[in-house]
Amino acid sequence: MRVSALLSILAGIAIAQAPNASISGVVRDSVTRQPLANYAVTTDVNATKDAAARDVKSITDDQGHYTLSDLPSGAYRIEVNNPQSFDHPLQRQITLAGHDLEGVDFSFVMEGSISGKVLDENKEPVPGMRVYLVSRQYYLGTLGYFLKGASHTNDRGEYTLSHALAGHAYFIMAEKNARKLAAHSDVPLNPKLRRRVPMRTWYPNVPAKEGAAAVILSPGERREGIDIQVKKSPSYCIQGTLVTPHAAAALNFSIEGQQPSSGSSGDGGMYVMKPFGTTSEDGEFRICDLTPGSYRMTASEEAANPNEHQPLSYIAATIAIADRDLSNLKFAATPGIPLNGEVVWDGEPPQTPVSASLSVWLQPLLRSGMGGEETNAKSSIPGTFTVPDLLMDEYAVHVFLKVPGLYVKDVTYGAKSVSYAPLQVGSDAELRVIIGHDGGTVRVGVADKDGNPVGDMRVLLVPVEAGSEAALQSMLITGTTDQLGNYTSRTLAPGKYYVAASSDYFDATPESIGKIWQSRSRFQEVDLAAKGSSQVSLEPMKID
Amino acid sequence: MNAVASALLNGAILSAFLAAAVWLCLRLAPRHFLNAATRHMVWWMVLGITIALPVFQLPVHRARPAKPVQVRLPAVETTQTIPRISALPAPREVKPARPIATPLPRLPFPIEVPATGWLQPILWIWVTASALLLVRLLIDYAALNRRKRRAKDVPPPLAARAVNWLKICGGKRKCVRLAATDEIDVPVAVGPRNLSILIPARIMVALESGGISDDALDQIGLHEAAHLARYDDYGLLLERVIEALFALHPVVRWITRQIDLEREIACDDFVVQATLRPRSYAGCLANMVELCGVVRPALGAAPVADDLSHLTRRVELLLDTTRRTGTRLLKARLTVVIAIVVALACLAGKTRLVAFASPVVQYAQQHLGPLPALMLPRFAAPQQEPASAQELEGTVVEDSSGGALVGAELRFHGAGMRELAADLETDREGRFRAPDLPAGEYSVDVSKPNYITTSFRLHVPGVAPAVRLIRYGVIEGEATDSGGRPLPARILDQGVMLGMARISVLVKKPGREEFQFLRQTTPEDGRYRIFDLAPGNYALALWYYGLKDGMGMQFYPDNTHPRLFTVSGGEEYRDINFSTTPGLASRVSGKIDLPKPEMQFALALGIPDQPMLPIARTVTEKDGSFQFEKVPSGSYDLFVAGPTGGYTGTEEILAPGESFYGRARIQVAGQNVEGLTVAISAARSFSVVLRSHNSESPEPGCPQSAAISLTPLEPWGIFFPTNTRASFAAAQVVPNLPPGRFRVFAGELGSGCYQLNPPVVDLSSDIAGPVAVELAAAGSIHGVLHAGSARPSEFAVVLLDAEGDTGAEAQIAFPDAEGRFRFEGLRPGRYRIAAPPAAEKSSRRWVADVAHMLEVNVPGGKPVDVELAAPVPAGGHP
Repeated sequence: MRVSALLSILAGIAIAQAPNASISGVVRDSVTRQPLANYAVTTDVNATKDAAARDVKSITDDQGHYTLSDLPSGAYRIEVNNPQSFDHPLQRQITLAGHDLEGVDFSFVMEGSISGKVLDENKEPVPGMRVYLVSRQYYLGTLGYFLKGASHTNDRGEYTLSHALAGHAYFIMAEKNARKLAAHSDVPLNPKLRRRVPMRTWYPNVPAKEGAAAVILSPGERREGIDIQVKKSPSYCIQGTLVTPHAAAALNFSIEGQQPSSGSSGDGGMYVMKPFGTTSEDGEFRICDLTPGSYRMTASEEAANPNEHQPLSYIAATIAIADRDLSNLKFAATPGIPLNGEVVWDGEPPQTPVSASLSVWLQPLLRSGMGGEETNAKSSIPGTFTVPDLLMDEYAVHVFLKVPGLYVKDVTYGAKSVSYAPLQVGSDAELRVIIGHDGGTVRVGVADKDGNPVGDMRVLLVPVEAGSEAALQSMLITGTTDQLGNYTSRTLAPGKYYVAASSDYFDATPESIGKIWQSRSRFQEVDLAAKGSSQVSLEPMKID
Repeated sequence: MNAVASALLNGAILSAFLAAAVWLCLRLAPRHFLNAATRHMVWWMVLGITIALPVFQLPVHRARPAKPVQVRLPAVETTQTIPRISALPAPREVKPARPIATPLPRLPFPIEVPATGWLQPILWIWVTASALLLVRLLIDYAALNRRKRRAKDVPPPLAARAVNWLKICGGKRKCVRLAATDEIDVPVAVGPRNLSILIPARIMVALESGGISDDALDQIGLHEAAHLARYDDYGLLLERVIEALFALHPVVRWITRQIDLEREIACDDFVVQATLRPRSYAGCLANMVELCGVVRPALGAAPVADDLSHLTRRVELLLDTTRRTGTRLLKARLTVVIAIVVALACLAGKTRLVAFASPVVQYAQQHLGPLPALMLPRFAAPQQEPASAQELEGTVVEDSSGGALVGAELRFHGAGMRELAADLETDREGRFRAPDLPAGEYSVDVSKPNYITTSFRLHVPGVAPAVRLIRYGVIEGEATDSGGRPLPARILDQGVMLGMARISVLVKKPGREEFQFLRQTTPEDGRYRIFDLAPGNYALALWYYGLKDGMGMQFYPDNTHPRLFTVSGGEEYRDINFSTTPGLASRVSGKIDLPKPEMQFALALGIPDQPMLPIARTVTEKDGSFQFEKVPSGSYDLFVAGPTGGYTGTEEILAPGESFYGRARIQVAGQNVEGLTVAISAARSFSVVLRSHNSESPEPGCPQSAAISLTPLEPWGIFFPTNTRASFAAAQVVPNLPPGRFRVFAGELGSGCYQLNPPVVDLSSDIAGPVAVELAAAGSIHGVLHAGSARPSEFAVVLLDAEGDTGAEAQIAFPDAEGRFRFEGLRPGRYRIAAPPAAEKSSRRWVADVAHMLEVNVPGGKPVDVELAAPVPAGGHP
């Protein structure tokens, strides 16, 4: 480790032919301008093929000051982390050219918190409820609801949701806490004898998310009084059998309400403990206390060593509850199937063969990866790959390709493109990764009216072909200018792009994406030629 | 003569069937269908018919032979003759029927009594008995009048109350005299002239001494006044005369007893209607029996408390909230019932086979289609419910405050049922109501968030349960640094924990010396709140490292005298605040001679005798050097373990393979401690074997082998993975352990098997032979409650699981009349037990003070016998 780090430094010196330098500055609260102590400011000296990255770290002192020393010339991404939270680091792009840079300051937008009480129909506090921070946003071509944070009510029904981003529209949802389920629920058979059960309830006291009100915080705001009175519904049961390709077996099952549910949302997933249980030896289950809505039930037959091997068989099914019990359901868990893939050139292959490889990751969309589950594959370009044991489920397809001049033109499964859509494993179709080698880059320079370069600007590149807000969100390419106002895109497909630079905050919510959609006509249009490089000069603009 | 005897005998037989049918009807009819006043009238009716039936059986009135009904059967011709039944519908389309294989049974009825010689003596005995009874009635009546005259008038305020009682009961009678006498045992109402209510003198004495309350006197008085308002004095006289005349008629005697019972219940209903407190009145009745003894009812007057079987039934009915308790005659319903009775009587009078009509029914069903409901052998009331369905009502209140608990969940498990028999919730008054609960045994779980789940067994029908839920205790406060700023819960650097602050809850379990680590909570913005403490004794400690003030572990309020927080239910300890102190912080550094280069070892600093939490943790550098920053002055144990193979949120994990350990005692006295060298040595091991309490083979319900886990009793700051399975057959070695103390736990025991007293092993010295881990089947408690002067059924026995990991289980048992109670299926271990009053109105807490509850050790396997003394009630009856 040490030897390789040293090599990396030596390599840096050799390339840059310039002395190492330092970056320093102050971290402040964006609103109060108070210096922030104990914040970790980090960067890494770029990893190369031969040397691992070297972390450089500085903790801000009581004056909020930090210094990152001994950095060779080059481009750096500097990150500031709130010491209380894993999420939402603040980043800046800095290009170092042999002399010390001072005044690289950070304005940290403080996270906010939302708190309130959960009450029942008698206005009594309800302890042990789970309260979620929910975001409505675009992901993989559709608008959905995603979990962003969770908290429990205490004995007085109080909850606090911390780490809420300022300016982001959140919804608040309360739900009865998950618990262990019996194979056969003992809730009475006669629906009239059942107790009414709490249902998902959204602020302000509505059972449907469509009626929920958004809560938007200012930086560092502590919003209080977001109280929710939980609604109750009749309790419904589902009863059935889970079968495996082998003999009858006890399967582990879990059930969870949909939209929102555990899963990935494109900008960090959230996975919560779902109500779970184990069926009887003959695969029978009875789950009760369900309220009207859509549920996802998953079941798996565990391997002998679940840490090393993925389930022997697996099923994910969607169940809709309306106003009655569902009986005699039958679900068949199936073993993983092999998924064959192919990496092909778009059109004619390049004249010089490519020695580098790419990797494909199929990310489970609505669950975390299971022990022993392998959904990665590596392939030469062109080439073939196989994911030998893929469980029948929904996945997001990620292709990692870091070869200059090459880009992923499309990924198809059967006849369907899964570049910007979920992959639903089911048929024996092949996954095709189509690689273009005629890509180019867009270089952006941002300066103000007086011609002064503006750093720390968000650069937005929207392919002109994006035909809807959802498509725009999927295809949007973003970056940040360095202190010299420069940004260079990765290799992009040739074609027309709308380009803009702005300091405005935006995210994947329809509010943000809608603004970009509306104002894209005011963006500058760039036509990126095949294997070309387009230079664009921009002035920062307001996106609203 | 023999005609009269035959008529009497046949009449008696028919009336017996009639009375039985009516009794069955009334018994099966829902209790809200008829009130006692109406049932009283029904019985009078039956009595009248019973007297009249022999007359119908005399030759003159014998029913004509039944006319045959011609039934044309297309397929099979039969010549069967069936009795004429006026209610039968006209024959409709008749389906071909199988010929009836068996001929209709012919019963020898009516019975012809032969004119033999023994008939005359019987009639003479009858007449004599009647005469004697009439004479006795006259004497009794005279005696009662004499007593009435001799009784002393009560003081005027009480006398005025008597008039008021009569007024409350309504009716046309206005004047009544209240008098006390020591010549009677029970209160009685005497009429028909000079209406009086006589009270035994001893009741008046008890009233003055507070032995019975004013309320009780009102209840007794109301009952007696109700008799007078209802003209029961006349009714009673008539009844006694009939009884005398039909001295040897068993059915008459039985019916009059029913009349007696219904009359008393009807009067009880007056009391309930006036006071609206059935429970209190039931208690008063029971008191009366205690005070006056069980007595035979006087012949000429209606007493408030009569014989025991009636009393039981009356109390049962008083406590039944589903019953109709009105005092008015329900004329419409009475008419319906009378119609049924008369129809039955007509049938009895005119037909030969009324009570044995099933062949007729069978035939008619086969050939004529459905019969009218009246003909079917079923006399249920209009609202038909399962015969055994019972309504159960009860309350749930908070133990500490007595306040009603809304939204408490009650789950009724019936024996052998897969689903719940009822899943209920209490209303705003803390009441629950289970309709249609089939009679039988139930186990009931009562739960509500913030309260200990309580379970008990219940028999339906039975007493309405009053459950007191025990609320968790709460401790809350702040944790700040020396500058008064809230302590950060964690200090992270890219996901790696650099520092943190935790509030740790430690519990002192009964029978254990040491505090045991229960759980830790994270202060948010410096505030913490622990709100799930079951009854028991707790201590609190702040544990922090990597903060401005360094590291440390502080008990509240200080490490030398930790405060014991006692929770009995519902306590809230506020402002239990912690503050870190910078003090004289020193650096402790040194080196470990690594067995192999680049191994990483975990180090922890612990305070001697505070076993659970290290005050600091670190890991070695690559060369084996280590350092702790900001260590306060004091004496410490330094623990070294490795090599490490990862970490959890709070501690390192040992790498698989061979482990090495070391330990040293160090002193920090305001100066840096440098250059420490800690010797490390190879790991130790011990062997473990499973044992039953008294044998070497598993008890029933216990498995052959079990997973073994170890809890260190010193703060090594590292997780020791153990994969050992112990068995009964042979000792298994638990390898790779440090020279420290551990408690040995067995897991994966199944549902009915438990571990007894987990043993402690001390590996700092050699251990001879295998360590025995003792297993036992679930235990039980068989107990007797000695209630002194009170009844055992007035108490509930509350059992708290004092040792379980959740520490949050309570069970109740309701002792039987002899005070016997039992708890089954218990995890062996220590329990706390108490017998508080169970009555609904009692404000006595179930858990007033955990320290004063009786501690019981349940060894498992065989039952433990427990004798409990009920607490002395503070103010009379609970």
